[in-house]
Amino acid sequence: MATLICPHCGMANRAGSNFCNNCGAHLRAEEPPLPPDVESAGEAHAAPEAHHPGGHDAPAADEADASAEWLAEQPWLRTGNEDDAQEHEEHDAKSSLPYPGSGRLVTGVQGLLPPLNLSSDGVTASPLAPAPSPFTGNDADAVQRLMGRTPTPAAAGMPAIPDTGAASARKALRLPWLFWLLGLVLLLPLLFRISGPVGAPRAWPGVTAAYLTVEDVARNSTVLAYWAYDPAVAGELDQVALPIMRHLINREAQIAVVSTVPGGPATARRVTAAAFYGNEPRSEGVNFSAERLQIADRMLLQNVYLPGGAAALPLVGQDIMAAVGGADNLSAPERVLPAEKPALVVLFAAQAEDVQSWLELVQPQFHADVAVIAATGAGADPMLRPYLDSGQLNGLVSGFDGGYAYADLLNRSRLPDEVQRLRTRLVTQNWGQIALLGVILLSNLAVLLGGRRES
Amino acid sequence: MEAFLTPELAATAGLWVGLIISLMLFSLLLGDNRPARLGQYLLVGAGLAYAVALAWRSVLLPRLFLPLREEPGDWQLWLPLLLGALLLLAGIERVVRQGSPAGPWRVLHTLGALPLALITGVAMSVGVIGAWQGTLWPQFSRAVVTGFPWTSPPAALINGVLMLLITSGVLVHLRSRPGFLAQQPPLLRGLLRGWAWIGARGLWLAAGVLFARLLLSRLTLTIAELEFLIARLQQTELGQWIGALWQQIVG
Repeated sequence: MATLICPHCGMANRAGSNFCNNCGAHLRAEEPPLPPDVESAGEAHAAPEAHHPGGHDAPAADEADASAEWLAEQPWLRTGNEDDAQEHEEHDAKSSLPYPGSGRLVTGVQGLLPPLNLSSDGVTASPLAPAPSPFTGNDADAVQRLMGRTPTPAAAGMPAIPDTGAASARKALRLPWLFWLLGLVLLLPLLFRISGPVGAPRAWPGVTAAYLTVEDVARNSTVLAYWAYDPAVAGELDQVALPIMRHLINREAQIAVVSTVPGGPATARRVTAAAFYGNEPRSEGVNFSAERLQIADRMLLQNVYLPGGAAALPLVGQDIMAAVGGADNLSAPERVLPAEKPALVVLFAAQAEDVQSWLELVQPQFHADVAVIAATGAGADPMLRPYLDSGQLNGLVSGFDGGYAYADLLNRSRLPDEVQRLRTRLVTQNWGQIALLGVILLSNLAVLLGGRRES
Repeated sequence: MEAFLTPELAATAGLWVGLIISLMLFSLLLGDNRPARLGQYLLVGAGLAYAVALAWRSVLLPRLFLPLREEPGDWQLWLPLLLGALLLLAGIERVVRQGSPAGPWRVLHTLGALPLALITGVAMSVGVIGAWQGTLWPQFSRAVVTGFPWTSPPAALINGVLMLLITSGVLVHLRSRPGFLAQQPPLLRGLLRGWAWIGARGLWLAAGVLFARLLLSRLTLTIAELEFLIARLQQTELGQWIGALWQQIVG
């Protein structure tokens, strides 16, 4: 019931989709109405655990209930036989393809963020479908109600209720409004240039250590930068990378950039140019000329794309010249990367996995001779804290607040325009956080009150 | 061409294209629609095309074809070329055969599995060894060596006890299936249940911290995008006209 089969290619798509994920055909225009008996049969198949026909012995039923209750408390463990129904649906979706292997040619392209799935009940996994929802059973019911969606019978444990016009109207009401309101909260300080009160961003442990590690690097030393982010997440990561690149340039470091992301080298030279000229890469506008980028090229010892992903990384640790050999710095061929180990490694990465890959595959070959610091997105921070505590990372700068704190340590005199922009950004960040906290608190309150009313 | 495509013109064109595609993607808030899909396809297509161009310019040409022209007898260069060609042919076979049953050309598909198996095998072995030497062993050593002697300061002592309690609680929670608990003596069952309760709260706390930081990350990304669009729009004549109008309205 919760999947839409494409009439053109037979691909199973997520409920609510208007276009097929496989062939792009319009799903709504040719969607045939399902007869009621087919619908109810589908629900019986999708939620066998929701119906308890009398007839099976009580201990077995109790055991099943206890197990289901236990699983409802630990949804992250639902990977085994408990998910048979979902696996069957996935199998059905695959078998509905016209021939084996005729699925999507390209999936999981880096840079595209999968949407949050609020309920996995009855939703068939498609190539673009996000991971199973952490909400199951009553939780899923409550979340669906909160977001204005009609709970699926499987989630609510009740017989199917035909979808009415009122339910459909409610469906499209709340979640988009929530996003629009959040967008408005973010736009207000940006449009009106509200710059106070700001407070101070929290300097998480690791920022000062990262600063001191860079400060300890001798002048003219070689610094290896592993660039694992591209323009898709540059909005956040540039704010972290920029002060560190400025610091490296101040220390007259010889910077070599290696990237496993296609867009990495271009992002690296844009940030290098901005760091050199003291501007922000995304606010340069038309003044961000080709000449400036060429100067950035000349400042970097190497700026190469290393194909092969994480599997190619061990080569960097074994023989860096072999790893980047052949792919010379085309703008400045006279600049050659020295064969000895670098004095410092800086990891610019949006995901914790990229930092982990480096620490697992390359750093053991450098032993403890080479210091390493990481500059990451805020989302990667909790995953990387253990590496900072264990001493595998010498410093960690993450997120907007980490970049802000690092820039403060640089003690560079800021222009009035830059101060105004940073203050406005900080205010916007604060407003956004307060709005999100409000949404979370109100949602919990709604679930709490809704639960009481129903009981 | 260069005279026509000046950096200024390219930057202005980039601004409008970026603005339009951003709006197309934001329109997903109104529901699934054609402009939003088109925006996604444009992004994926442009990203892939750029990756192909980059792979040719910085990998295939300087590291394979140019050396091969200089030294045609070097088998170490022919091997990657052969494996790459097999993979490419398998991909072409898949694209060409779409919608029709497998025929004799299916052999290309099978041969394409060879380089794929090589890539997967190398990646897996490298990954397993790396996970051991870079994460499992150092983290385990750190956990074992740290300890907390009884002479430690109170804060460190409390921290160590909490870490031990929550870590073991999580392990008990993950292990304590209903059947397992039912087999234990009543006293131990109560103890395990309480321990598992602490572990479950620890798990939820960790998930909450992860989610909060991820949310913060996406918030920063959204703000940067909005700020970028507003700043770039203000540089255009249209933006300045809207700004002047806005000033008159607001006073």
